[in-house]
Amino acid sequence: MNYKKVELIFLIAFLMLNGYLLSICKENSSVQNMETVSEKVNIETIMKKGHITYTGPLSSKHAEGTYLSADTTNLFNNESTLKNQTITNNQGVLTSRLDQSLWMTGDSDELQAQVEQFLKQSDHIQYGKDYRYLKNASYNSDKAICYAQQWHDVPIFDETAEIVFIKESVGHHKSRIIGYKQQHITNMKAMRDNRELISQKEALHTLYSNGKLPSNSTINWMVLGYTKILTTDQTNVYVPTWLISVKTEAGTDQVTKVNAIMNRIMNNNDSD
Amino acid sequence: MKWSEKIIRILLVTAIVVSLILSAHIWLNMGNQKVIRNTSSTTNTTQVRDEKSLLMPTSLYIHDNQSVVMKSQESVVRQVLSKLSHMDYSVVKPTSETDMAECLQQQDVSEGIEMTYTTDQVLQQFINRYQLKVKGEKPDNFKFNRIIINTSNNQLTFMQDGKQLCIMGASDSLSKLYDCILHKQSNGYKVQKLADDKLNYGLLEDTTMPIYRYVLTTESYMTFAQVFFHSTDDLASKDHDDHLILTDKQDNELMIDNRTGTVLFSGHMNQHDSAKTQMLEAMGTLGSELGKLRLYEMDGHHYVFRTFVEGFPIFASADRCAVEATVESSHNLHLQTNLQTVQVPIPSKDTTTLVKASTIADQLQQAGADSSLIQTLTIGYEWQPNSDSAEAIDLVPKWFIQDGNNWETTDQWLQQKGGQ
Repeated sequence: MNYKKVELIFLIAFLMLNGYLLSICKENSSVQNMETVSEKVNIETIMKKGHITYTGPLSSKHAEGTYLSADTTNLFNNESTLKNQTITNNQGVLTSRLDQSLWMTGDSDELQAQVEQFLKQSDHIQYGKDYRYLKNASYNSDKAICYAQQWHDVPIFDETAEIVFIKESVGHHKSRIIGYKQQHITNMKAMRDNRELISQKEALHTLYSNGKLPSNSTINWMVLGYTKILTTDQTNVYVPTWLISVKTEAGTDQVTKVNAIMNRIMNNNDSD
Repeated sequence: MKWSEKIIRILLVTAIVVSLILSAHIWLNMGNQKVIRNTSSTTNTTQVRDEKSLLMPTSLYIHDNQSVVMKSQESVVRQVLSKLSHMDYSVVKPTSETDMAECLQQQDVSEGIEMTYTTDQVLQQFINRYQLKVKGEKPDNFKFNRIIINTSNNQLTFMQDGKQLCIMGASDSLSKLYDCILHKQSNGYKVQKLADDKLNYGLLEDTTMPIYRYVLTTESYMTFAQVFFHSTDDLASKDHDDHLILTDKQDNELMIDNRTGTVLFSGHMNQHDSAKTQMLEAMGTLGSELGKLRLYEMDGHHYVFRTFVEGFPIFASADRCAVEATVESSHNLHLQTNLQTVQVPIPSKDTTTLVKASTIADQLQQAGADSSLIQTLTIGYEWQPNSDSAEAIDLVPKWFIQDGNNWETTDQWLQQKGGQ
């Protein structure tokens, strides 16, 4: 083999090697580009690409909140003050069957006004003034109207601090309230100093990252509330939580909770 | 030589040079791969703790005429820093050699706020971090450990105790900020100077403080793996007795001690960004997993971050509620912490009474402690096992003293000293 042939073989070999090295460089650069893109992708873009709809405004604002503690109220100590209803104790939940139903014939606003009037009467219901209408929990429900206690205008989105009015539809545009289930908490206290909570957008991002916000889904509502995380010696501990109701393409509704302090999806067993 | 031979030779040399350049480029890029994983793509998204939080002052005091109240809760400090960043400043008196008397004079404010660091901070970095708008020449390489907001003369003073001062005039009235903080509802403790010639504060009177109770949380080692490694897909794991070792292709290593829960990470950082920035990025990515971390100690390239509870640092064995970070000159990063942490509080009505600072100072002096030790006297919360439940821990307030690199309760220190 002469010198010219050796040169030619080396040239071909190096050209092939360069081709291979160039392909590696290109691959690395595309990985870096992907990383840059993923850093910049915000939840609005994700939602737009995935055809995820939400009609409300999306906020980046960080509210403040902290863990709360509260004692469970024994509602049966004063049940004798309640008139015109039959009370039963259903594992600590006060369950009332009204002797006379509250009849409603108008729209939901009229129904709400009647319930609020009912709440103001202490011989009808205990601690009625502590509760506010919980629009989102009553969402799309023709069977219940929910009211919840508050902490600094943030609802306690938990059955331990709720009144659920049991509604029955009677014919067209006519319904009645036949009773209610009530739980109540007292002695609410901030357990620690306030801290910055995750924003609405961050909560949605966490939902998306955990596969709880599929393509073509609709966010029905999302709200910041407190949910119970543990109970010890009759005292409950509540954590600020983003509650997000999502309707999937298949038509199922699911409410997912995101711990607004830790920015984590809360499983059902996170609250006892 | 023919033209064709010349062209082949030139092409061959060019191909060799190109292959060398490409090889070098690939090799350098491999070394520059980021150790820290991008949080936006993780499934366990954590709340990133930024530099403003990690490097916030460790104590805050409110001067209200004759009394001084300590309120070091994060929300209070955060509020002060946030309000400071919305004002314009002009440098009134740039850095100068100063003496202790002048420092004490600056500290002697009737109405104002004082914030202190346990480590020296660079003023320029502080100005950039909190976006203070400063007119005039800013002193180069000025370090400080104390910020004094004086509402009577509307001045903001940065001070390195006994060494130098930088006084700035504020464009807006600082008294609004003062009123806002004065009326903020949070627990405060009355303090006084530890001694006449000292700048530090201690409890004015015997004070009852709460004992905090928490659910003992053991983080999964994967939480740390997801934070520290670029990808967790190709991790190699080895089990050595009580140790689990995870490594990736870039030789970054995470070691977990299954007995103590200690977590050790050694990784490479890229050469482009500053080592400190990357270390803070790593710390920030740990986010709220380890609570409200703040920088507490710094010695060269060794940093100790501690979790704070209600404005006080937590002291615990085996690096619980703390992260020790060491940045080597070769851009290697070592982090040490623990899987066990506190997150969810449990209601507790227990309290304990801490004796006033002067009592502790007297006890220490009688035991032969030198005055520099007394200067490091601080209140912290000690991690203690809960007597009723193994799933809970108590955080008990104690006086702590730094002896060398160790923090001990004054009781422990006095016992040891008494035994000698």
